[in-house]
Amino acid sequence: METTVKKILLIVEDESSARKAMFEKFTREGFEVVVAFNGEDGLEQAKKTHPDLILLDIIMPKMDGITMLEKLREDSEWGKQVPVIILTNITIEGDEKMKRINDLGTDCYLIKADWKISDVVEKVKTTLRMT
Amino acid sequence: MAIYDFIVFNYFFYIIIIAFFFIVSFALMRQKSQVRKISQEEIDVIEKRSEIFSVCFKNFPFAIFLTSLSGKILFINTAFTELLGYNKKEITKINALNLYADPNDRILLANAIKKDHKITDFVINFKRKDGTLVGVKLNTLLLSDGKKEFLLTTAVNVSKERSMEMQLAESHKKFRFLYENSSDAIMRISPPDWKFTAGNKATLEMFQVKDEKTFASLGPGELSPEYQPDGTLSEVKLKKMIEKAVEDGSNFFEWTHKRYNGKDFFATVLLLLLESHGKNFLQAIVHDISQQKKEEESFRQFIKTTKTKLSGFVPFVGKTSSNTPEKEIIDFESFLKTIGGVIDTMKERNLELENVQRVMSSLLEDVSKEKNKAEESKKQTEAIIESSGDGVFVINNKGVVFLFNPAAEKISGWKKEEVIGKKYDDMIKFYSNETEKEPNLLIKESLCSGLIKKMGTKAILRRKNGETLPITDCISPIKGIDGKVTGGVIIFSDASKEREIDNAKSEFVSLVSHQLRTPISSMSWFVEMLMSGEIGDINEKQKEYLEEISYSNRRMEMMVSMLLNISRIEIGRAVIEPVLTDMGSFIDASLSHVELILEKKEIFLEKKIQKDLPLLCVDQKLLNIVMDNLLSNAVTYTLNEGHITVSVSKNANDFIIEVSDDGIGIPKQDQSKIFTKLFRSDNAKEIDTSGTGIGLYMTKSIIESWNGTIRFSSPVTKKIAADGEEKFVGTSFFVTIPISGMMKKEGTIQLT
Repeated sequence: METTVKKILLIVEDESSARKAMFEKFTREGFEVVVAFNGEDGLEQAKKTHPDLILLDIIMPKMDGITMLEKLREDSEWGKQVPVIILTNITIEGDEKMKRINDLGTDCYLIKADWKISDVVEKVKTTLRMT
Repeated sequence: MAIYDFIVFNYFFYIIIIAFFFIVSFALMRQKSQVRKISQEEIDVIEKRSEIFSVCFKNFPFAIFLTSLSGKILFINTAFTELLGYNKKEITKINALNLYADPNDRILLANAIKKDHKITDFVINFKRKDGTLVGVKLNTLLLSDGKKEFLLTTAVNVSKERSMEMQLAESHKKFRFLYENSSDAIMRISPPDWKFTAGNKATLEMFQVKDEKTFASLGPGELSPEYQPDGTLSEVKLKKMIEKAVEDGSNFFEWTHKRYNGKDFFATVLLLLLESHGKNFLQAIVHDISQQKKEEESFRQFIKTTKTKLSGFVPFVGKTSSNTPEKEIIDFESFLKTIGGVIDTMKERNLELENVQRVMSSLLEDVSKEKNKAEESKKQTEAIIESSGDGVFVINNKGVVFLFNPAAEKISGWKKEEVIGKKYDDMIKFYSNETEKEPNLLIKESLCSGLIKKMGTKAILRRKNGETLPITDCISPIKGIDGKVTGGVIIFSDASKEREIDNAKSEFVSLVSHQLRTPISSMSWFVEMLMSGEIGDINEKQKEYLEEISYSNRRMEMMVSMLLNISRIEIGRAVIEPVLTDMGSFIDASLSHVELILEKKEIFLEKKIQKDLPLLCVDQKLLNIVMDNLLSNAVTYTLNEGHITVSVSKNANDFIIEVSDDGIGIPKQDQSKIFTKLFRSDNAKEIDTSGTGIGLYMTKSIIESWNGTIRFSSPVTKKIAADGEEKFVGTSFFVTIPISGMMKKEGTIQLT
């Protein structure tokens, strides 16, 4: 019988390859993984499942990651505080955009291409330990 | 007898000529000054009292106007119309209150009237009919005729005084120009020792002196022979001439000068006593009359010869009587002398006149030439400004626009007539960026500081119809003769196209970084998970193949990163954010990145940091990229058990970072290509096949963006190889950072 509750992880990512890699890796690591394909989907899933942490991509169709994050933060008390790690491939150009992201409250901003997936796992675990 | 007749006839002839000369010369020299008398008629007219008043009022040289207490204007004079532009008909429609440029002035003056019943020497700005402002000094009296009260005001234009000052300064400048470029030799001698203190170009040429400095070390005595032609000592006669000039105010005389190289020459000298800054000095205009003297001499010769010729006739005269002929001879000789003397005087007087005339006419000629030149260049400048594709407008130091070219009309949406004569900031508003609510103050800052200012890359202009337009803008203050700012020139142009292109480039870079990196990252994750064995065990061959995929992937990732950074540098948008850095600690941090591989290859690292280095402003991100590149090159291309040295030092101009190794070096034939894109030497390829060939290119671009330099030497050191042979090996790279540090550069992006 399982005594520890699995942590719920929401992964919002439109690229199927990356999504699959993360889903399988994190499942193996013992997380309960929920996936979403775009910002709209992600917002719905977040409100429904109340994950312990969200891994958020930025460039997505229908609604991008920043907009989703804005709406999430405005939505509820829970929405305001849920830890979010941005995991994307783009480098944000311009200080104003970065400031906007920081103001929304993110735990960190990781570039997929620079991070090994096992290091991403470590980062998620560390962040969850701190919250 | 015939001969006697001949002489008598000529005697009279000479008298007639001389008389003629006298008459003509006196007529030439007389200058009658004309005095205008006030006619009796005018005096008669002025008798009536009321007419005295109206004539005085009308013709008073300053503006006078009479108003009711409510401000209704009852009378104005001609000077008022001249000053403010309203004629007698128009003025009845205007209330005096409308003349005041600043509404606060009305209140001030109204209060003063109430309190003191007068206003004394109030300086304010009036508004003319055409809207321009003029500074006036007001004096007002409250008058009463028993029944009603009136205000009588005089307004004196004080802005003229200032423009007079400027005109005076202008004419000083013109005089200076004329002085310098006059073809007459003009020079100055000053008390107490009456040596030369100034001389124009013509003076230096005449005396054949090299430069004004040499000239100013001389006195008139040194540029004259020891004796004058009349036998007096030059030094003595000099003093006399100078004294006379000081006493009479001027002195005109002939003088023999000596050129600097020794030759004498005849001259006329006109000395004028002038005053400057409270001190007296003599200005001398010297005329080289060597040519004239020659002519005079030949004339004298002519007289002499004539005399001799005529004297030759005398023996014949002697035949008639014994005494009379001799008397005739003596009289005739002295008469000829008198003729000569008179003619000399005539010549002198004429010369004097001529000289003065010549100076005046050459001055006049120069002035009119200058005027023409100025007009020409004014027309040219106006044409250039009118046809410029950039918007140009010119303001005075109060912000009033007085020039607005067609391009400015087009870009801003305002017409020339709407803007000229008014303050620019009511209509033309520049903002630093889209979000600013208040217009920026750069124009005002430029005028205050006297420095050229440029608006930033996000500057916009609000057009007449309210819409905004991205613009580039440059403000240049205009300085007057005294260096004070008198206005400004603002040049601006529509930057919409450029902004669009900039945005498009920026978006492209973002897009590329995303699109290229996405497959790379997915691939590397899957490879990683396979290689970790968490999906299942893999055999040696599978591991090998996976490592190959991993290598290729890493290379691609590095390429994408470098290509992105290069494109950003080339677009010129990389930001430089310097912070005060301790170079020693910085180098330590850089070295820590390569610690592991140094250990693995057993390479010995030597670190040399100069003592007491001051802190330096550097952008650490950029410097990191450079250091990583140089260090990784050094480590990669040095063989096991090799030696690497890293040192930081400084000289008078720069900080110098040196990275030296005793590795494979750079072959001579490849050295010129080492900084080019995608170049790799063969010997480098042998050691490491995965290099990109763009590291050094990027490093150089980054270094140049902070005005530093990079250079290298190879080979640099001797090493004894395994087979005992001595080889020349190694490479040293030197990077400089200016001692003033890296300059902050605004860009919109960071390098990764």
